[in-house]
Amino acid sequence: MSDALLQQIKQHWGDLRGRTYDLLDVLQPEDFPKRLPFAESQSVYYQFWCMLGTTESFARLIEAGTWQGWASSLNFDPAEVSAESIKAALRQSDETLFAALAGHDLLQPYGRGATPLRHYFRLVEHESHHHGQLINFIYALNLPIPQSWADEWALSREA
Amino acid sequence: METLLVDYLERLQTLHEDFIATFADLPAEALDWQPGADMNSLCVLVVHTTGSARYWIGLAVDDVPDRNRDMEFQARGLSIVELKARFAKLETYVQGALERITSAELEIIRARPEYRDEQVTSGWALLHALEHTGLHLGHAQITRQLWQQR
Repeated sequence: MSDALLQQIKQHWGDLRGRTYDLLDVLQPEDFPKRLPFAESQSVYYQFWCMLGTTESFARLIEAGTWQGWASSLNFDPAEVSAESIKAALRQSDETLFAALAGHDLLQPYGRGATPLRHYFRLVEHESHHHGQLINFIYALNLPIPQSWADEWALSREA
Repeated sequence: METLLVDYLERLQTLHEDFIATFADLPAEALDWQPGADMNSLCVLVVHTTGSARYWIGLAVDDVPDRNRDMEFQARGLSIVELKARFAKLETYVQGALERITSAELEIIRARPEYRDEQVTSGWALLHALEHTGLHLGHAQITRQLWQQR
């Protein structure tokens, strides 16, 4: 069961994370510092920084079974990164996540009841939550709509 | 219900609570407000999100409902009570649906009735419902912020 489940998760994460890559592919460097028109808004780049850090941190959680703290390997300043460096870091985090998941029975609880699969559920929520926020960035800032986002979420823009 | 599915239900319920918090204290006019062209109101997001989850979780247990997806994007005029009731009705359904399956059945291939050539496993369908709910929760939270800053 666990091997089949792991394959399903890899397929699922590949689809979900794939849309993160697809958005990176259509953004320009000048898009990363952009924000929504209110004071609390984070930047476009922040979304990627946070998705990466959470993947890295959850991979450590899944590996260890206990929370090891949150950290993102990317610089917080968007001026210090490029789409390619973001993508490279995300791809590394995918590998780290899959390795952590492969090292455990996904349905076997750690000591206090949570299973690796439950942690994966939360990671899915987090990544998709950022995608949802980014939909509003796309429309409010007139950013390009990746084809996969248009197909998956029926996004379009009136001419 | 198996632990895996209990965890799933708990995560979905948590997302629903967060979703309800995006509109529960807003005036009626905020529910149908659209931040801009092609952007959806909170009312639409609730109707669409719950409709989609009912579809995908139904697919996972071979109980696909009749669904008019396009109509979900026309929704307007619903009250806070009515929007909350959408989540409550969905949760009642999901609880019953998850009690009818086991983790071993998550590998069963399901074909979407309206797209016979599109097949997914039951497990993928459940993950997709969770992902889609998380997506529109993020969407709704920013929509609320845009309403407050309009």
